Amino acid sequence: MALPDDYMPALELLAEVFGDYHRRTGGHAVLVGGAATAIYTDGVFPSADFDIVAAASDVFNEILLAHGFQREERTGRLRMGFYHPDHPRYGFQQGDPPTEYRGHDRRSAWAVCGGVAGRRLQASASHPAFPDRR
Amino acid sequence: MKKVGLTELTRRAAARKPALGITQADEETMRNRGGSRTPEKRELLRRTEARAKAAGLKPITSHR
Repeated sequence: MALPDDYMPALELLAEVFGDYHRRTGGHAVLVGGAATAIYTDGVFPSADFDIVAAASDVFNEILLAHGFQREERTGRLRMGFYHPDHPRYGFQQGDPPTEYRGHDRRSAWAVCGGVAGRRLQASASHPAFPDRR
Repeated sequence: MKKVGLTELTRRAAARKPALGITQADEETMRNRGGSRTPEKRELLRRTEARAKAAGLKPITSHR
């Protein structure tokens, strides 16, 4: 089983966000959890959401919105994450590294760097790295 | 930071799979069953599934 056909366009868009984030902050956002597993296994374990860790979460959210992502409309304590109208099969969410991801298995995380050239993306092993919120 | 192209990364994953002897039944057993998900995570997955259906697309399976 390979990654779904609509996975790469969503990942490419996210890579643009990651690239902008790096240019603005000098840091790397990190793709973790199910999405990292989906990529690492070439789709054997597909995932419907992209879990992301970015130290400057407010900046990352700003960049998401600038790229057409929208916040989930849900209010209250269940409000979490973003979606993109062009990629309706996927959700996008940020975790908080200091509280959500401390001490977990760093092998599950991948940074997806910007710099999309055609369909070429770079996935980079990143340390330290964190798994997704379960 | 060690960098690898995504095409090469997925090629390695595909090559690794037969060597590990993982079957389709194994894959389902090894998936996240969702028992430890937070309520907000379940809600995000529920909304994502609903959005996919509303767009006429088959949702990606996630255990909630």
